Amino acid sequence: MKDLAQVEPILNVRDLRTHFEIKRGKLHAVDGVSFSVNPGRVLCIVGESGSGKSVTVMSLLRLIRRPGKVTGGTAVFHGDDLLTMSRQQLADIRGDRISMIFQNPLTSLNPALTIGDQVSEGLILHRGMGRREAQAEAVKLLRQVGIPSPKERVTDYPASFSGGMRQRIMIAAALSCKPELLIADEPTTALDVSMQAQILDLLKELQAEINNVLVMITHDLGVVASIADEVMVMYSGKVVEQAPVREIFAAPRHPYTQGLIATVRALDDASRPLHPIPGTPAIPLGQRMGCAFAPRCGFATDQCRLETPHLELVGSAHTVACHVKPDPDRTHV
Amino acid sequence: MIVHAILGRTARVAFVLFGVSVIVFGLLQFAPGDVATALLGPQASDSAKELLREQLGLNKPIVTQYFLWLGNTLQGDFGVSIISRNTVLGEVVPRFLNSVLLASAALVIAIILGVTVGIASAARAGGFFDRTSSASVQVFGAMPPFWLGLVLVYFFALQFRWFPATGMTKTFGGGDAWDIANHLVLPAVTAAAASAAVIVRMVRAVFLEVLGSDYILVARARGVRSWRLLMHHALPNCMPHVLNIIGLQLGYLIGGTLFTEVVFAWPGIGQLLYKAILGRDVAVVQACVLFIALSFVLINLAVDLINDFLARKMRQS
Ligand SMILES: Nc1ncnc2c1ncn2[C@@H]1O[C@H](COP(=O)(O)OP(=O)(O)OP(=O)(O)O)[C@@H](O)[C@H]1O
Ligand SMILES: [Mg+2]
Repeated sequence: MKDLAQVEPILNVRDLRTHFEIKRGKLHAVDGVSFSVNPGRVLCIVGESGSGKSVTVMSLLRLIRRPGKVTGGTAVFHGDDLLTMSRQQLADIRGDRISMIFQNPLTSLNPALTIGDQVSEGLILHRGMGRREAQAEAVKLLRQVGIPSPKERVTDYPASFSGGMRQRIMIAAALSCKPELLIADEPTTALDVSMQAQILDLLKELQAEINNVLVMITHDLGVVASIADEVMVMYSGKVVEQAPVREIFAAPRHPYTQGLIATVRALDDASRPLHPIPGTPAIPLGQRMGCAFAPRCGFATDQCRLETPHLELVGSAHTVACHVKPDPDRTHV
Repeated sequence: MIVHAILGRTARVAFVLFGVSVIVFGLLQFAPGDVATALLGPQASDSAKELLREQLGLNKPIVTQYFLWLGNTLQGDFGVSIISRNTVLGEVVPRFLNSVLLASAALVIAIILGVTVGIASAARAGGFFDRTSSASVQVFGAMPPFWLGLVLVYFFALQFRWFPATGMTKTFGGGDAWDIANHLVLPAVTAAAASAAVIVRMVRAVFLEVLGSDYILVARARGVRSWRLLMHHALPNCMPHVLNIIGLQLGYLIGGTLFTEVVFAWPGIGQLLYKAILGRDVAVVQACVLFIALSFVLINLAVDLINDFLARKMRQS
């Protein structure tokens, strides 16, 4: 096996911070997140709702709007920091070398533009194609993602497509310029189960085909198991554990990760008791002290409540931010 | 489908027009004083008045009178002005055209000003331009036309002497186009101001709403930049709302035009109506009200049909 540490990462994120200035104070949606992704790999970001997954990836492309603000960190993509480069430089990268697919296909397509317009736009902006050439290319892309009779439908408006079809169209648009990095934010959450599987297969297939890097946000550990190389677990704006996919499932070391996995195992296997993680996700508001997960954690000590844990190496590529780091076996009843 | 929609709207318009005709007819009935006395003067003998009433059909039942009046009106016969002794139609039509000219100029100004400033404010919401324009909107939107008119006359006509304040007598056949335009500027700006202010505020709100939608975020993530984002991605989605806003403003614009005419002595239907009311010239008042109401109804019908058409074209889910 290759030594991954020696491969130059495509994207290197260090200490990313984004907060929202809301009525009740500063909400630290992303609070010092670091990760990197290597060529040809799939990184999955998991975590409960509100843990900061979407804000993390949107911050990378500077898509955060008021009252939100990226306040710190670097995100180096091929040697240039996405967070400080000029708007022009960033606009040239967006949609060309880094693309994004969003959660809700029903609202992600512009209702007033034809699907051909939207799929071909990246080619016009970044490849300097003429309208006609780009439109012809859009037909090819639509065929590739499985839109039936793309030639006739390229001039249709989004309203005449189902949710699954629209997500395929979004994928075609996102992949039009063959991006090196594709970020997919819960691309299947809004779809029904059979459609979810189809879209995932499509993403996997296309990822293998253009050999790009995929960063995928998901709630679904089944998806993680089937697609991920690396997994990053987020809780309350921070990374709590990061490891290769096999290790996350075989030997999770953070009580939160262990809880997530135990919940899914119980759902799969009726003989196991269902233990959803008790309590509600912590909202990263105001000054914070100690481990954000401590109030919900069965292992929490006084140290957990007072000192914020930092990520430590517990394996060759496995990091965890926990003072206790309980053995995985102790979690299962 | 489209035919159906047009028929539905037309039926509603017909109903509104019927209401208008009843009210206008009623103006005559409820006008203070006796028509025969008004027409013949207070010295006329009772027999002469009675004869006139007989001639005008005023002794017939009211429903019959209504239909007689309606029949005449539909043929363009509005009677004779008691002030000028001209036919009412001959009085009203040239004045009406003058008003159309003023209202159109005001409309163009209100649209251009309102839409561009509204979009520019939304593009950088909270920025310097946005704050400046919001403040101006507050000031100009709250000014009644006659007040704003006087302010404009004071500065631009009396102090700077850029434009004439009054002196517009005849639009067609008077001065050349340049002269007309010169006379038009101040009244048109005055009539446009309130509507422009409302259009700015509403266009800004519509754009902000659209700019907050997911597909705009997606377009930004695709590398689309400011101008294209506004014009190619946001504008088509705002268009039906913007047209609707402008359509709603047309009514106020007509109102603003009528007031403005009085301030600037613009020879339009508003000024005519004002004089006719003062002179108790009921037939002219009727015709003016009818013309104004009719333009109002027809403009709204046109706006509705255009909106229907656009909505259909958008095929919004
Ligand atoms: N526009 C905003 N204004 C205020 N707070 C926001 C905004 N967007 C996100 N947040 C807050 O930031 C935190 C992280 O949100 P984020 O959308 O990243 O969560 P997530 O992990 O993607 O959750 P989900 O799985 O539900 O998508 C949340 O607490 C959320 O309330
Ligand atoms: Mg999210």
